[in-house]
Amino acid sequence: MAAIGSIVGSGGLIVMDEDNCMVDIAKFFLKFTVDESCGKCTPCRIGTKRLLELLEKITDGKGTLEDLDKLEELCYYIKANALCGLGQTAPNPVLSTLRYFRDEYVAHVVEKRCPAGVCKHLLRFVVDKDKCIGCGMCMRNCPASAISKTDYIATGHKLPSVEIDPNKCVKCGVCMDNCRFKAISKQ
Amino acid sequence: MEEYTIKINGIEVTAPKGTTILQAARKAGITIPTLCYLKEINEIGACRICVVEVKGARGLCAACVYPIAPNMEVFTHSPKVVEYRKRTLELLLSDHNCSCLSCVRSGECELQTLCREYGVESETAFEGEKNPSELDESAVHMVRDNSKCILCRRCVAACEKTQGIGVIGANERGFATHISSAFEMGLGETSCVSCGQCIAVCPTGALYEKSCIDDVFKAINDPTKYVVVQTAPAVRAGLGEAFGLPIGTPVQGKLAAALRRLGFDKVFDTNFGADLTIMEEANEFIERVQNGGKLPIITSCSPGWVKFCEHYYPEFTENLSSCKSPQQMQGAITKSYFAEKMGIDPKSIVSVSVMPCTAKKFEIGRDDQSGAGLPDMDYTMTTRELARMIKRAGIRFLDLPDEDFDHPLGSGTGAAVIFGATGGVMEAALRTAVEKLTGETLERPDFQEVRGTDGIKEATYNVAGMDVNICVASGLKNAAKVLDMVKSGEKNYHFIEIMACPGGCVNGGGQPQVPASVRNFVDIRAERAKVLYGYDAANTLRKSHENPDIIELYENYLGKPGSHKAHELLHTSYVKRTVNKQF
Ligand code: SF4
Ligand code: SF4
Ligand code: SF4
Ligand code: SF4
Ligand code: SF4
Ligand code: SF4
Repeated sequence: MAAIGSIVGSGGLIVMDEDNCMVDIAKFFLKFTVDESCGKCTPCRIGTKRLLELLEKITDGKGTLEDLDKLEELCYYIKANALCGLGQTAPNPVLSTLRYFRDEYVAHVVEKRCPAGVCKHLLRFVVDKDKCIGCGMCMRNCPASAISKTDYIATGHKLPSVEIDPNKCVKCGVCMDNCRFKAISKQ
Repeated sequence: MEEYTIKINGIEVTAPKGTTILQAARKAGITIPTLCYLKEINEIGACRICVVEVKGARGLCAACVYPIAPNMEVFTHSPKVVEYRKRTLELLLSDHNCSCLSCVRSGECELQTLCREYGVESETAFEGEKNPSELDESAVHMVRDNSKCILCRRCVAACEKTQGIGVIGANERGFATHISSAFEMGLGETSCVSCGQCIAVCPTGALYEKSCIDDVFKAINDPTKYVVVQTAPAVRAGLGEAFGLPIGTPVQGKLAAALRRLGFDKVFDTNFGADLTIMEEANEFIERVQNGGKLPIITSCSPGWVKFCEHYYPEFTENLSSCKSPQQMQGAITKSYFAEKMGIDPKSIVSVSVMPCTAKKFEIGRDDQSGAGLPDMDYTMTTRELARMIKRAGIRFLDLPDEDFDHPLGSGTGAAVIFGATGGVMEAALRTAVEKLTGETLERPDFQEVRGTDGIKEATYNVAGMDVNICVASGLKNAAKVLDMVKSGEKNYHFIEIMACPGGCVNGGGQPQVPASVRNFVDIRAERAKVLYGYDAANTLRKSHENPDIIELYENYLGKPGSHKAHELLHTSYVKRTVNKQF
C-alpha cells in the first residue's frame, strides 16, 4: 500500500465505497493526529491544525482551488519538517486521498458538492413540488422551521406544495424521513 | 581529538567530532537561525527553524543538535530550506498576536527579525483558530503574555535547568500546548523567585518586567518631589548594548550623564551602598567568627537568592547575613542621612534605582525594608527600562559626554563595582575583612580564585592564623548544590557568596536581552564582568573602608559598623516560605 502512495492510517486496511467521502475520511484521520500531537514542534503543533482547518474549509464548501495547492504544499512541508514519526506521517491520509481522489476534492471546492453526500454543509434538501401533496408532515417536524407553503398547487393535488429555505435548514433530514410521498430528496 | 572535515554550502570546514552542524556552520561564516536552541540547557530541536539539508539523509535535519560526520555535505540555505523556514515562521505567526507596533520587544524580537530576514510577506499566510490566552500579571516583577509565546521553551529551561526551580512548564498538548504553572496557578502564587532569567532568554515579547517608567517620569515632572536615582554596578556593563554598542562596553560616564538629563535631582551610584554593605557584612562576619555566631554566613544582596533561600532552604535563613542589599541600604541612607544633610523632608523624596534585576521589584515591597520609617525604595527599574526611558526622552546616548555621579552618595571603590560579577562581593568582603582581622594593609587586593564564570568556586585563605573556607556560587541550581553539601556536612565553609543569576548581576534578569544567535556563541557573563574588573583596576581606592564618604557617614552619623543606628537602617530580617507545587 505504501508503495502506491495510499497510506491512510496505521497500515490497517479499511474498505470503502462511494458512500464514503474521501475528504471526510482524510479529516477523520487527521483529527486523530491533531489530538495526539505532543505539541513540541512547530510543523506538527500548528501545521497539522492548519491542515485540518483547511480540510474543514473544503468540506464546509468554502474552499478554493488555491486551497488545494496550499493543502498539498503544507502536507509536504510537515512531512519534511516534523520532529518525530507522528508528525511526519500525519499528512499521509491527505496526500493519498488527494492523489487518488482529487476529483472529489475538486467537486467540493468548484461545484460545492459532496459526491458521497456526506459533507453536511454541502447537502441540500429539495422538495419536488409536483410530488408534494401539501400534507405538511415535514413542516410540523422540521426543527428549524425551514419549510413553508408555496402558492403552487400541482395538478391533481388539493393543497399547495412546500419549499425549504436552504438558509434556515440545518440538514437534519427529518423532513425526508417523514415524507411518505418521497417528495423530498437530498442533493 | 578526532577531527572531521565536512562541506557546508561547498565550503570545507574541519571541526572536532561531536560538533553540531550549527557550530560548524558558524566556523564557515554561516548563521543558521535558531529559536528554541540554547546551548546546554535547551537542545530540543523543536522549533524546526534550524533545519538543513544533509546529503543522503532522509528528510531535513535540525542543525542545532545534529552532529557532523566525516565527509558530510550540508546545505544550510538551499531554496527548499529557505522556503520551509519561511513556512515555519508563517505557521508561528498564524497563532501569534502580531501586534509589533505596541509590543515591548519590537525592534529586538528574534521572531520579528527572522520574519524580516526570511521575507515573510503576510501575518495571515495561514488563517485559523488562535489559542485563547490571558495576561498573567499575578507576579510582582513580570508579566506573561502567552499570545506572543512561540513555545520555544527557553524560559522553562532557564527556570528548571539553570535555576533548578521549575515553576513553569508546558501544560496541555498539541495545539493547546501553552506555558504556565502547575494547575494553571498564576506565577505570583508559585514559589517563583523573581530572578527574571526566563525573561532574559525569551526570544519574543511574551515575557517582560512590570514597568515603572511612567511613574518615574511623573515623579520627575512633579515639582513637589525630590527624585533621587541610584544605579547598580552591572548596569554600566550592560546598558551600552541597548544602544548598539558591543557586549562588554563600559558606559559609566554616559550612564551618569543620561540620568542627569532625564531630570533626576541627584544621580547617585549604588556602589556607595555596596561599600556600605561591605562595611556591615565584613563586620558581621568577623563578629560571627569571634563570637561563635551562625556559620557559614551567606551573602544577602541578591533578592532572587534570598527568596530562593526562604522558599527552598528555609533552614538556612539564619545563615543569611542580616545586611540589606546595597540598593536598600542606599535607599535608607538617602531618606535619613542625606535628607537631614540637605534639609529635605524625606517624605518628598522619591527614591529610584536602576538595576540589572527583576527581583529588586519584589525586594522593594518586602517587610522590614523601611529603615527611616518610610519605604527605603519607591521604584526600581531594569537596565532595559532605563534604555527605553533614555530613548523616549530623545537623549542621544552615544553622543553624551562622560560625567560623574553626584556626592555624597555617588562615590564607590573598586571593591563595590565588582559586586556585579559572581565572586565580587566575596572579594570585596575579603579585602576589608582581611585587613580588619590582620590589622595589616593588603598590598595586592586581588583574589583571583573567586573570579571567573564558574558556577561554583572555592578557596581557603589563611587569615590571621585561621583557615577561612569560602565558596562562591551563582545560578540557583549551583546554590542548591552548595547548600546540599553544607547540609550533609561534606563541606565546611565559613563564608558563602550566592548570586541568583548565573555569572552574577551582569547577567541579571533585567539586563538587555541578547539574542540566541549571540548568546550561544559568546560568554556574555565574562564579557560584561571584564568591564567591572576594569573599573576596579582603574580605581585608586579598591577597598570599601577607604571610601572617604563612607568614612564620613560612619563618623558623623552611624558610629561604628553594626551600631544600633546601623542596625535600624541597614539590616533586615527574613521569613520562611513554603514551596508551591512545581512541575
Ligand atoms: S511531530 Fe512529534 S514531536 Fe512534533 S509535535 Fe508532533 S508528536 Fe510532538
Ligand atoms: S432537513 Fe431538517 S431542517 Fe431541513 S427542511 Fe428538512 S426537517 Fe427542516
Ligand atoms: S513578540 Fe515579536 S513578533 Fe510578536 S508582536 Fe512582539 S515584536 Fe512583534
Ligand atoms: S523569574 Fe526566575 S523563578 Fe520565576 S519563573 Fe522566571 S526563571 Fe523561574
Ligand atoms: S515565553 Fe518566551 S521563552 Fe517561554 S516558551 Fe514562550 S516564547 Fe519561549
Ligand atoms: S544576581 Fe543580581 S540580578 Fe540576579 S537576582 Fe540577584 S541581585 Fe538580581
